[in-house]
Amino acid sequence: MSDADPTLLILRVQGERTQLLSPGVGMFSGALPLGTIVSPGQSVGVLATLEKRARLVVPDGVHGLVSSAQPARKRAPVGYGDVLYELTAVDSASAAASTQSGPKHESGADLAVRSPQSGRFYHRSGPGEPSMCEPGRELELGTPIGLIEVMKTFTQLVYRPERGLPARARIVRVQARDASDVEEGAVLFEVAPR
Amino acid sequence: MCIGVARDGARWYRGRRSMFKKLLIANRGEVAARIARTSRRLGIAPVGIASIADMGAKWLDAMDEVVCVGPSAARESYLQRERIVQAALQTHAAAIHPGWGFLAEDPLFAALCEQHAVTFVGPSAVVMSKMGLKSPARAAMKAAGLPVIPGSDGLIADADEAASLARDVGYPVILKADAGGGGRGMRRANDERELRAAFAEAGAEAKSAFGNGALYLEKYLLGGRHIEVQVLGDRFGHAVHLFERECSIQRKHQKLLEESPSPALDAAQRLELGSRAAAATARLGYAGAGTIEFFRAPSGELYFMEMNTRLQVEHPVTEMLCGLDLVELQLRVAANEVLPFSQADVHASGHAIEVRINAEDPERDFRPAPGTLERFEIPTELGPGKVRFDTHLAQGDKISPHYDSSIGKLIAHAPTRELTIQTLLLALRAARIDGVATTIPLQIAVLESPEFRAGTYDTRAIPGWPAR
Amino acid sequence: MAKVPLIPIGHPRADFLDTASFEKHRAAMRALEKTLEERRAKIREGWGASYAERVHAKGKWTARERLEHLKDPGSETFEVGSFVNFERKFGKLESPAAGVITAFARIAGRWTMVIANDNTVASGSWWPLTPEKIERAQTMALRLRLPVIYLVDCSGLYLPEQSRSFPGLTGAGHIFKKNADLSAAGVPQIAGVFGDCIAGGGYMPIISDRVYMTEQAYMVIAGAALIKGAKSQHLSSLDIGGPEVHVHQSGCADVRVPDDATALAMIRADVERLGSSACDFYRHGVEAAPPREAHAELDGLFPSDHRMTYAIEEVIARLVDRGLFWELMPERGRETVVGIGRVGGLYMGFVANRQGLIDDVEQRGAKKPAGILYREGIAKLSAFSRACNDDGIPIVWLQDISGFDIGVEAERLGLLGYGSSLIYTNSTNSVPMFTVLLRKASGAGYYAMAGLPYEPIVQLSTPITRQSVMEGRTLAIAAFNTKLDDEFEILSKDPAERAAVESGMRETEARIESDMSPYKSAAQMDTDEIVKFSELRPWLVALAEMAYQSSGSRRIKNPRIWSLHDLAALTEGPA
Repeated sequence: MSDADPTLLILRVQGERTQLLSPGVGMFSGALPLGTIVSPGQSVGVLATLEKRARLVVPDGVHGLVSSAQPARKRAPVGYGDVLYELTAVDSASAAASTQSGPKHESGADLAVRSPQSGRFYHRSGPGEPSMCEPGRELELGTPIGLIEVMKTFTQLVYRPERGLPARARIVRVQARDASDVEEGAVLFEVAPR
Repeated sequence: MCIGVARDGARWYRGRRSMFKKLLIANRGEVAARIARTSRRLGIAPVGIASIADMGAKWLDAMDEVVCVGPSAARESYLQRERIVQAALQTHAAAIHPGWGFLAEDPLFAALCEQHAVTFVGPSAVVMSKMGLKSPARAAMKAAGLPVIPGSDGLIADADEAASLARDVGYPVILKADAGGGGRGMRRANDERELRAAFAEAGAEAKSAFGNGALYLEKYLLGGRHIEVQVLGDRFGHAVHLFERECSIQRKHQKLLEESPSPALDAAQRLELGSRAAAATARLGYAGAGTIEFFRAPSGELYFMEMNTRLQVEHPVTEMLCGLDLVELQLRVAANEVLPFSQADVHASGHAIEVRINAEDPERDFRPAPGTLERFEIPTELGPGKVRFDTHLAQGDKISPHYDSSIGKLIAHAPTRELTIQTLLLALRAARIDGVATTIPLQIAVLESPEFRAGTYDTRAIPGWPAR
Repeated sequence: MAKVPLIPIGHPRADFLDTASFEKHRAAMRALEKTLEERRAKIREGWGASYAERVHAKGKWTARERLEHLKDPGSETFEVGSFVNFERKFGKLESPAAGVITAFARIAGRWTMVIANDNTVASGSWWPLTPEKIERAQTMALRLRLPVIYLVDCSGLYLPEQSRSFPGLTGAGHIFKKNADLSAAGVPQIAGVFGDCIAGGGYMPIISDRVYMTEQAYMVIAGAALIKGAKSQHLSSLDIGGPEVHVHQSGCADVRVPDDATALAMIRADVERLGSSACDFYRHGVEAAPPREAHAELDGLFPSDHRMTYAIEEVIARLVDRGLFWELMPERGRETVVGIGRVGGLYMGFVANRQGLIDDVEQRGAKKPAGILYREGIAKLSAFSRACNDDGIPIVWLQDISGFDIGVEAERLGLLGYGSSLIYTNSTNSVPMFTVLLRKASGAGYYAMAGLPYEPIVQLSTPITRQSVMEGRTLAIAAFNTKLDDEFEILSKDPAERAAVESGMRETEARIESDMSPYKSAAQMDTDEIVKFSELRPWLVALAEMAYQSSGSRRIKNPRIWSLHDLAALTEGPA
């Protein structure tokens, strides 16, 4: 139920072996038992660092059967890069059956900035203000890229180089018009690295 | 209880004293190896941290346990405060030694340790913050009775105030950023016109580099020497000095060679400087090992420059000179022990010199030269004095491109300066290091140079190594 | 976990807010702050330089000069109620700061409440709301157990308005009731009488533990003007009730001193004889430290448009020492943030509203707006508030709240009940609570988060605070409800009627907008003071020190046995 600080596990693939590694240092709890099927987006435990809890999430493209035993301790101390799960491949049918909660994107654009939620998307912070959403605009962490209005509340959207987006990007093509209604996950604009 | 200083620098106490059982060393390489050595000797189990790049390195063999704290880049591993404190908690380490570099002078890290009840081996976060900013440090030291370079008492409000101050202290003057470092936010001015221009530039530069545009002004002093005093205080108001180190041989503010005693001070001056530094340390309520840096003007006056709130790279010079283990002393102070000796018990004997051996090519503008140590032999038994070689590397090791280029430090100790130089030269000339370029040729040239032999060098040039 | 696991929160400003937006917000805020500074400056002048000269001509100091000499040199004072009666007219007259200065001031290292009649405003007369302002200051001192210093120089009630300041429940006499309450509670009171002290005012110093009189001071039940035969006998008020009478004959005062300076020096010496501050003890070995990111940046974090969002974590990071904070129940009621930080080295609880959108836990994948309270957030606030009260951790309520969630579902869930529980909790808490209205303070949210009606010890507003039962637009909708359809569009098709409804709604909205001004609120004593964002951190440090100053006066549990730890353990959420 928690939506606090989901953190992706690190994926390591070595030949046939797929491993999920700890993304930090802390106490690992809530490990899944041997034989559980895991799929992208699934929560597979909690890592507590100085009592701050991060929910560990399976990264994109990972399907498999847990083939490693649970840690001996319910709260197991782990370091960065420690192996938390060994996975073995499962056939695609059962994998598909277990992926219903994966993220859905309706557009195929590779480097796309998507709307974090449904709402009305604005290019400008107010009438007469410059557009934040022009082709050629250069983006990096924290650059404002528009506003989204949901239930009369305006939230500033900023560029975050996450999920494969480059650290420094340029807007290539704007997909969502100013003041248009967008769905969650809809492409706002496409970017290219610079 | 206290029975005075043992000349082997090891045990001051009759019988066993309980201490931290485990110590996490929040550092890498030579630093971590150095601290682990003392830790082990005191029966404290050392716990190491490492980045992905360092996992499996030989220096980690000295540790009882190792926690990997992140990827290769220091920012994502050795500078990750929360992960490191968590590593201490989950390995049940009672204390953290930060070494030098990385988080050693980070008040937030010290505060975080304090908040999570892990003892930080070093001074309090507040003292560290005060000494981390130049103008509060200057004010505190002035109040504690140390001479400071003539200049502003605090921060300067505007160019007019700067100009009026500069008239008082006399040109040339230098403007420095309060949060500064690495030469940024510094501007020299020879007259009022230059000063007014420099004021705007230095402020803007400091603002963009450090997010803090505050400036202060000092008289600019040419030439001169860099002499620092090793101090040590406990949590009960006691402080002693462990004499000075002369660190004037530098390249771009990086020290290359340190020695003690300083050839620039006579016996009376040494004692005067040391006792003033110790008194200031006590006044600050400073607990732990620290270094007070002084600038010695060509005219002979000594001025406070800054205080380093950590163990220094060059601490072995003092250790050999005084027969003490500074890391042990740090740990004892951190465990709230009373300083086990008084000033009268501290004796410096003979002369000690340290040379830093880095994987840098002195023929190619000191370009870092990472690579594999195909051969790595430095003899320490050739005499006539004693030689100590502090390193974390062995033949066959790779020098990682991710971190600094230090290979090790060679320290010699002998009854006289001349014998110490001879000892170092014998060791350096017999050293065989293949696979990477090192600064050994430079160190040999310095030690052989007449200026160094005469002890008349200053910070402006490296003796025996003409600018090229 | 008996430790208080504070961790760094917040980021350097450039990581989450671009410089252009930051500077834009800051410029807008600076304009508002300029107005605030100008208005403050005007209030500080009292009735102006000529009245100050009249005071000086008598060889006396003005009230502000007395305060300046009384406090520790170089220390900052924190004034409350400076906007009381702001722009309020009494005939042609105004009463800046209601003719009395009430300020937290540091004397001999201890925080005190100084109440000083402003002798540059109608010779320190009491206006309507002057008694209430003094009583409010006395209440603050009583709740915090701070010594109270009265600098008396008051010619009595401003008579033309006496019906509004004499007879009521909070009329002038109630000040003396508060004198008695303070005394009964063992709070030290010291009075210096520097001039007139007539009628009711005569009672004000008497209950104080020490009373100093200058040679220009007199205390009388009635002045010479009302004494028969006074004129023929050439009797002045000074003859009737000066130090000669009260120090030596009646015993109504303790010490006579030649002048203002001596009186103030002796009062300082008295405060020094009191118990010293316990703050250092309660810092538990840790020294105070500034936030890691400059608190001065706060004024650029708040967008100029009140509908725009910001990150509350960044605000909290700039209020707590080193930006270290322990957020409790982070996974529950995400529209709120509760947790512990140190302020000036002292533990304080923080309650704040998150802005923007949060995940809707009841509907997977959906979002809902924060800035209002839902059931889980209300419950979280109640539990946190109760735990802080139990542990003796002072609470800072940082309000930016539009109200409670409304609608069929909200009523069925019983938000009225949860809200009442929170109100009950806050009403019965005894731990010091301080409320800061960062921006919106609307509806039941203002009440539920310890707004002024719930008697926080101090409530501060900012230049962008908006206090009201609801936002103007919403209120206009409520008022014109019968003329609107389901979507709140105007029903009528008749152009004339549509125009009338539209203009009526616009007018309502505009009126509410002006009512929401923090100055109006402060003038009516609906908030205690208006502060700049850059002043917020110094204010909180001072309040924290006041809350921990007097050991033995309230429960302060050591952090090992905080019930907050129980709350953390119980709400830790499934792995």
